[in-house]
Amino acid sequence: MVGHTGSGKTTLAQVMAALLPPTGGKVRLWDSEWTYPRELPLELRRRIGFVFQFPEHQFFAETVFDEVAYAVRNFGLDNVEGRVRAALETVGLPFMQFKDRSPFSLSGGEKRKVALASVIVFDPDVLVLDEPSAGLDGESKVEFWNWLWRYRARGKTVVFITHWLEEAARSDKVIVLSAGHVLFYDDPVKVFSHASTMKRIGLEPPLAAEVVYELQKKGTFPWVLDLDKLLEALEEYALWP
Amino acid sequence: MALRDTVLIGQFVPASSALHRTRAETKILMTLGLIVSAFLSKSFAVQSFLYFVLIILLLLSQVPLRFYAKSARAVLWLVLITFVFNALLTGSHVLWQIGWLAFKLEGVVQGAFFGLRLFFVIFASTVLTVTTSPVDLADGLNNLLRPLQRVRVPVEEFSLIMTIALRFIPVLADEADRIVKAQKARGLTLSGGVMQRIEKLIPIVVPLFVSAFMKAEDLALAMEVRGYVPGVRRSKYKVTRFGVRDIGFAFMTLLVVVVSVALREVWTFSL
Amino acid sequence: MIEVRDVSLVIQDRAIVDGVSIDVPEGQFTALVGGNGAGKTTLIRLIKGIVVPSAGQIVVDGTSSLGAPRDFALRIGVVFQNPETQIVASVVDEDVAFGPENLGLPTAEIARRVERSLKLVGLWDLRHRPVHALSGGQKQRLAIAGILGLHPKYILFDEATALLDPAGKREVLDTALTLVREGIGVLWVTHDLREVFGAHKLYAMMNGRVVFQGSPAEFLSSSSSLKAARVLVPDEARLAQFLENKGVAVEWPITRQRVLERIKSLSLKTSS
Repeated sequence: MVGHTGSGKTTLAQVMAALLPPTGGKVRLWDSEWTYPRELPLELRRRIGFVFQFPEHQFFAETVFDEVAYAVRNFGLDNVEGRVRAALETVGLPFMQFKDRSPFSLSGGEKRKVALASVIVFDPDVLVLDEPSAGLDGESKVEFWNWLWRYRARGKTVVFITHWLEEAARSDKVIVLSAGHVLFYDDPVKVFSHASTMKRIGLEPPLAAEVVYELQKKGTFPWVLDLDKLLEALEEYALWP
Repeated sequence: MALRDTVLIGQFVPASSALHRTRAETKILMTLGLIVSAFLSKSFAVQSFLYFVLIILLLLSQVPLRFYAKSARAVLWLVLITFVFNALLTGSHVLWQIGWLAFKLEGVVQGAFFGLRLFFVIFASTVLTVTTSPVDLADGLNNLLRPLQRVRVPVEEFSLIMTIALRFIPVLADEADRIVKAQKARGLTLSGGVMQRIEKLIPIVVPLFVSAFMKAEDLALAMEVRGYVPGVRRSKYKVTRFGVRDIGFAFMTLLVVVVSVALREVWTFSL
Repeated sequence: MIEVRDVSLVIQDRAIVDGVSIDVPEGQFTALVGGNGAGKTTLIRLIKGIVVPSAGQIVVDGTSSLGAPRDFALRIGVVFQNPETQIVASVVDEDVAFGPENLGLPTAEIARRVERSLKLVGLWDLRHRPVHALSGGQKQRLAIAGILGLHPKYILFDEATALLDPAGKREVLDTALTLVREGIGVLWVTHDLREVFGAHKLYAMMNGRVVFQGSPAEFLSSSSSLKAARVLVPDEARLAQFLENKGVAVEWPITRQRVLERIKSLSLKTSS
C-alpha cells in the first residue's frame, strides 16, 4: 500500500485490521462482517497481525520472553515456550541468548526484531505492517525484506505500507492511495507504468520504471521493475557505442 | 475517533478577532471574573445574564461554533450527572418516580442550576484557551504570578513547563491511541474484574511512560542546544502593551461582576 | 572550521567513538554515513559539546571548545531525527523565537531573527500556523529555523530525514543545501547515499572508527567501505556505473535526472 503522507494509508490499514471502526461501509474478515462498535472476537483477532510503525514503542515487559509471550497468553494458546522460541529464531535471535534480557536494553535492530517476533508469535494468517523498515540501516533493511518474503512464502498474506515504490515493486498487488481514495489496485507493472500519475500525487516511481517508460517511447523494451532485470534488459535491447 | 479530537484543552484556534488580540492577562482575569460571578449567586437572573455575556464572547471570538460544540459534547455527560445526582438526592416534593428513583422538585431546580453553572464555567474557560495561544497563556499566567517570585516561587519554570505540557498533550494522546491499538492487536481485551483490568493496563501505561520520558529527554536536549539554561532570564518575542481593548474587556468584566452581585437575590431558586 | 582531532569516548571500557578525526569546513556539505550503532550520534554529541570526550579535542575556528563560553557553544547547531521533540512552542513563529529569547535579545532583534530564519527555510508564510498542522517536512524545517535564530556557523544534521516521507526528505535536504550556499558548514548524517552524492567530502564510520574518507564517488567504488557502512547502493548509482562501463558516463554528482538524460540518449536495437 503506497501513498504520500496524509493519503490515508495508515487509516485504511487500521480499518482493514479492525482496529479502527469505519464510519461507513463494511469490513469483511473471512466469513464475518465486522461492524462497529462490536469488539472483534479473539479468534478473529488472532488471524490478523498488525505491526505498527516503530513497534518497539509498545514494549512493556521485563524480559524479551514475556514481551513475546504476551500475545500467546492473551489468545490463550498452548505451548508458550515453544512458540516464543520459534518466533525469536524466525527473526534471527537465538532464544537462549535473548529470552532473559530486557527488551529496552537491546540495540535498535534487535528491538525491531523482538517487536516483529511479538506479533508473528501467534502465527497470524494476515500480517499488516506500517512502514516496517523505517529507521533501519541499509543492511538491516535488506535482511528485513528477505525475512518478509520468506514469511510470505509460508502461504501468509502480507500487507505493508511504504512511501517507497521501490519497496512495493516486488509485491503481487499494489494499492495506491491519494487523498483518501484508491487510485490503483493492480499488478505493480501496470500501476508503475503510470509514471506521470505517480509523480503528480507526490510519489517517486522506481528508477527502473522511469527508465523503461523512457525507452518504450523509442522502441521495444520489456517491462521490468527490478534493477538487476533492468540491467540485463539494457544489455540485450540497447545499442551500445 | 482519535483521542486528541476529544481533548479541546490546549487546542488554540488561531484567528484575529478582538478577543485573540487581547492580552492573555486580561483574558485570564476576565475568565476569573466570570467564574467568580457564576459562583457568587444563586440567581437564575444572573445565570441568564452570564449566558448572554458568554454568547457575546463566543461571537466575538470568531471561532467556528463547531469547535465549541465539540467541547460541549465532551462535558455534557458531566453536566447531566450533576443534574441527575441533584435531582435524586435533594428535596422532598417528588415530581415523578421510576422504581425506587424519585426525582424531586427542589433537586431538579437545583440540579438545573448547578448543571448550567458548571457548563458555563467550562465554556468560559474554553473561550480563553481557544482564543489564546498556549505560549501566551503561559506568559500571561507567568506575569500575573510574578509577584510570587518574591517569595521564591519559580514562576518562569512553571510557565515553561505549562507551555511544553500544552504542546505535548496532542502528541501523547496520539501515542496513547497507537499503543492501545498495538496491544489490542496483540490480544488485549479490557474486561474482567477491577484488579484484572488494572493489571491489563500495564502494557498500555508502561510504554506510554517510557515514550513520555524519552520524549522529555529528547526535548530537554533540543532545548539545551537552543541555548536554554534554567534560571537564566529570558527576553520576550511578543510584547503587547495594554491597550484600549484590554481596558474595554476589563471594564466589561467589572460590569459583569457588579451586575451579578446586584442581581444576586433576584429570581433565586431556593423554594 | 570544526576540527575533530583523535576524539574518543570510552564508557565502561567500551570505545563508542574511537580515535575519530574529521573536519567540517564552513560553506561545505560534509557527509557522515554508517550503520545503526556505528557511533554517528555519539560523535554529533561530542562535537556539539553535549558529551565530553575521553581523549582528543574538538577545535572550533582555531579554539578548543572545551570549557568555552556559552555564545561560543552556540556556533554549532544540531537538528535531530525527530522533529516532534525539537519544537517547544505551539505556534510556528513563537517556536523560532524560543532560542533568541533564551539569549535575552531585545524584542526587535528577536523579530528580525525570526523573520530571517523563517524566510531561509521557506516557512515565513506559515508563521502563524499551529505546529500540529504542519507536515513532517515542515516541522523539520521549523526545527532548522529554530537553530538558525541562534546564528550558528555550523549545523549538524543527525539523520534529520530518517522519519520523513520522500517529499519531506527532499524539502529538508534542499533547505540544508541552501544553508551551505549561505556559508554555513553542514555535517549531514544519513543512511541514504542519494542524499550525499553532492557532498564535498564523505566519512564512513563502523564500530566507532572512521573507516573511509574521500569523495562520494570514491566511496561508491570501494565495495569494502560500502559493506562496512551498512549502506545500500542506490539504484541511480548502480545504473550510472553500468552506463559508465558501457562508455556512457553520467556526470557527477549523480541525480536521477542526469541518469534519465543519458538513458534518453540511448538507441534500441528495434526502434519504433
